[in-house]
Order: sequence, then C-alpha cells, then structure tokens
Amino acid sequence: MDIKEKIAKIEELLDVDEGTLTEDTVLAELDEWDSMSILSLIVYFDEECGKNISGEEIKDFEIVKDIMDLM
Amino acid sequence: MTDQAERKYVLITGAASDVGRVLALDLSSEYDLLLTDYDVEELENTAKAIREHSSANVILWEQDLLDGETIETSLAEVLKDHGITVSKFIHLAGFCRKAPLKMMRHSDYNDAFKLMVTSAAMIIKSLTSRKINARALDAALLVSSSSAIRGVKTFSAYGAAKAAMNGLMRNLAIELAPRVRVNSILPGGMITRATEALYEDEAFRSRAEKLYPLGIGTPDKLKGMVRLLLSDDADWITGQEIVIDGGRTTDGTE
Repeated sequence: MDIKEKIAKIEELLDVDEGTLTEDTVLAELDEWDSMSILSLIVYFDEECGKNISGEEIKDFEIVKDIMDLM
Repeated sequence: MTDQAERKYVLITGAASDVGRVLALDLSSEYDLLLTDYDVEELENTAKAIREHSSANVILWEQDLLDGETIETSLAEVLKDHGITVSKFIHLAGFCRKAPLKMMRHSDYNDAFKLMVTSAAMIIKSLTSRKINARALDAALLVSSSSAIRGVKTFSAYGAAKAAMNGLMRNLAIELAPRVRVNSILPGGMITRATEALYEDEAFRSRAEKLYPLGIGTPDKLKGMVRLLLSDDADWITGQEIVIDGGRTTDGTE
C-alpha cells in the first residue's frame, strides 16, 4: 500500500472528507478523532494487518504518520 | 407548514403499508420524503396520495431490503442522484411469514432478521456516513412491536426480529450519541389494511375491545409519538422503547 492509499484508508476509517489528511495532520485537532475512530483502528489493525494494537497505544499517536507506520 | 428551504428528508421503509402511508402523509406537512417498499405499485399510490395532499418532495427508492448486499450502494446512489441528504429515518418494513413453529423454515427466520434488523443497521450505517449522507442523520426510529415483549402463537420469527430491533436500537443509541438519537416504538395490534379482515369477525373484535383499555388502535394513534421522537423536542431522549398499545401490556386485570 502506498502513501496515498494509506491516507485514503485512514480517511475512510476516521470518516473524514477525502483529501483532508496529510502525513503531518495532528490527530488531536480532528473532530473525528474520538473513541469510535480509535475502535475502528483497533479492528482494522487486527483484521487487516494481523496486529494487536491497544487503544492506549493508539491514543499515544500524534499525527497521521503514526497510524501509517503500523499499516 | 415548514418553510421549503428548511425542510429535511425523512426516509421511511415499508412506506406502502397502511401505517407507512399514514405516517408519510402526516409527516409531509413538515418534511420531504424518501420512501421505499417492496410493493412498488402500492408505493406509487402512497406517493400519489402525498402529492395530492401536500407540496412535500417525494422521492421513491426502489430497493429490496432482503437483498442486503446492495442496500448501501443503492442508497448512496439515490441520495447522490437527487442531491439530497436524509436527516430522519423510520424503519417500518416488517413483512414476515407467520406460522406454527413446526411449519417454519430456516429462511423465514433469516428473512425476518434481514428485513427488520440487518437492513436497518445498514441503512443507519449509510445515513451516518460523511461520504454518503454528509452525516446528516440526527434521529432514527425503529418500529418494533408489542410482540417483542409478549409472546403470540405463530409470531416466533416476527417477535424475535422485532425484539432484536430493540437490541440494535439500544446499542446504536449509545454508539451514535450525541449526533444521532435512536429510539423504537412498540405498537400493539391495530386495525390496518392487513388486519381489517380479522376485525370483521365479531368474536375477534369483541375480544380485542376487552384487551385494549383505550380501545382498538389504528395507525393514526402512532402519529404524535413518531413526530415527537423525530423532532428536536425529544433531544434528550435516546435508546428508549415506547409502547403504544392503548394500555394493553400494562393491564394486570385477571
């Protein structure tokens, strides 16, 4: 998956408009960065990447790139 | 009548049924309507009745709700084609085969759950999506039944699916708060086009009259609560089952 595809996937998981995110977008500044987004990422990492990532770990993410690094 | 520019769309499934038509007609003074039903001919009649009665926009969505895989794409398409978003959702579709257990088929149960539970979840999923509906949904109302909380012979698939709708309702009420309120109503037995033949039987009718402290109900009796639950006047009400049955399920008279 290239950078563009990863960002598109994250936009889908966070349900933000296409083209809103860059690698440097600060997650805490997004209205959509809430518990449901974190749960969506947990399920995504588990089912699509075979990775068991906890909510605590995801809460420590600061920017979009932190999510991409695990994809 | 609400100003044309401020009008919001209500999506009603099962809109060709007697209850669907009564609710759609009532809501057409305040909302525009996106209607669906498996009976396309009767749905056209509902649309015609509304157009004669009000200036509301009426759009028909042709979709078989038993075909679950296509619900999301076809709803996205109809919203996009008409350039609309939907703010309110009433899930009324509830046709189900009723027979003694020994005559019930696996597919009867699957179909009941697909139509009443799964399709509601998929529709709400689409309506809360930014991409598909600009997250416009703010109230969803699932039309359950008093048979969700009372047993009736031959109603096993229907009653089970209607009860599952209430489980879906409660879970989504929490998951989607504070953006979307999700509630259900549990109507008792009513005289409708589908049941009027039963009530023509004098014995059945007099028994029903005794069972319902406030008398035998009609679809009209649901209008007030439906309007309330869709409106901002209910903005602190979510996750609730509201029984509308003329007092029947409360009556403890021996």
